[in-house]
Amino acid sequence: MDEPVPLAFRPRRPDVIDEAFDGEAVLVHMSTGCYYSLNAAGTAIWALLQDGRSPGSIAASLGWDPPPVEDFVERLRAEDLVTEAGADAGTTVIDAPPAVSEPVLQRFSDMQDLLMLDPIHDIDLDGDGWPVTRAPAG
Amino acid sequence: MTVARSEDFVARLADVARAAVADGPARTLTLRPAGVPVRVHLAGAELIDRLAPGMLEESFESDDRPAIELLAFDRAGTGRSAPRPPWTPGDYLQREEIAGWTRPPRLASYSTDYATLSVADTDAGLGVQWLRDASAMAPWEGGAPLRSILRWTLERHGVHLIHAAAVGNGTDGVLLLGSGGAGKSTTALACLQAGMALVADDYTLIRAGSPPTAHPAFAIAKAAPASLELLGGRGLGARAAGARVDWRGKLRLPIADVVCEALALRAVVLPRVAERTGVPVSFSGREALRTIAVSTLLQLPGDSAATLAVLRELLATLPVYTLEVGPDVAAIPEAISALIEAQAQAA
Repeated sequence: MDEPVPLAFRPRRPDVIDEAFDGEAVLVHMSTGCYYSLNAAGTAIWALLQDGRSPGSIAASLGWDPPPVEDFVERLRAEDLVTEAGADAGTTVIDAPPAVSEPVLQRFSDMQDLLMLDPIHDIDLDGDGWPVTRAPAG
Repeated sequence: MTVARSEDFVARLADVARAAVADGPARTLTLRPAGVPVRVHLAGAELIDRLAPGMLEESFESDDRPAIELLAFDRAGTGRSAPRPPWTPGDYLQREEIAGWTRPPRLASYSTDYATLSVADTDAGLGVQWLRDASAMAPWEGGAPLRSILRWTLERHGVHLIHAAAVGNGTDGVLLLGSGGAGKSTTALACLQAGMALVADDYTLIRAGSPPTAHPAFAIAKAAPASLELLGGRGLGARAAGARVDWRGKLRLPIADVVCEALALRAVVLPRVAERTGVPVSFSGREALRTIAVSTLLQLPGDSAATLAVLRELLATLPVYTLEVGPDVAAIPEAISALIEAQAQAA
């Protein structure tokens, strides 16, 4: 029997946007209002996920043990920051992976209320096909 | 229900807007935000009355051709409705965004609270805003008119509208970043009061470069009555006479005659309200990105990735400082001036 193909993941676009800064990435999940800070090791993993990669393939590319990478990707998955990408399609190589191989994902939810202020639930349309105006909150 | 075609929705909405402009009442204005020639057509008496004062009018130069055309009209004032939308009810997202219309070249937002639609085709340099009734527009609209369609269409020209203030000495300046209530406006107006140059107190246009430059987008600044009192009210007090009051009780001050057209940015300053004004303290750009990214992105629907990239670029290339600002407002322009002078010399 064939070996099961390891699941690959990629960033959830366009909901999740990111920028790397001095080797550490900031991620913003525009749908949940949470944002995240990744250390250098986490940022290296995130960079490899751009192509759609499995944790095992990422660990091999970085020369690290698989378990911390698997745990980190699972954490990204639990935060809805990545989505399944089918088969591993990655080719990106990181020339000088960070020496520290303990990836850290720091989560911030202090702005979440601002994003959740205006949820769109049921939309009623007028005769022209445009949403019926609701009374502004407050 | 039939769903209209997406591809030509912006053009069809623009056609309705042009018909409304032709019927009148209408007004055409020219702007040159960060040097980009923009022609604006407004239709509907109430809409003109509410939006035109916030626009920073500037005549085109002799060889200018409009790079961007913006149109705005309302149904109550013109009798014309927008064509049926090409999206479905399930496409209305939080933060007024619309699924499938969050990235160039086609962007759209819709406020269900204020029945306001903004759409743009950035390839065509075309933006349209439609409201059901201009008299019921969002209370902040007049202070930053057409800000979404202006922002989306200017991106293509390398000009980015961000939630920030900018002040300086007429040549060099600093960008003030922070969430609402952080002290941006108070800092900006204290600097204006002290004779410094003001580009903007709330929304600033940024043109990337070395150094990046800041440019004004709108003709209105806002000030809480308490801030005016702190500032002494001399020059600003005269501007406050007869000024409109916005939804937060802040006065809308006309500043078109005093805004500075361009400042070379030498630093980013993150003001923080405190018991007394301090001195600028060096701060991590990376930490600044983490702390202000979401509040800055929240201000402006659509194309969030571009805004985050601009913020990152600014915070990576310019020195970043925090500045505690207190009721001793006279100390604010002194601190900012000293910082600008030091940074400009270092450059």
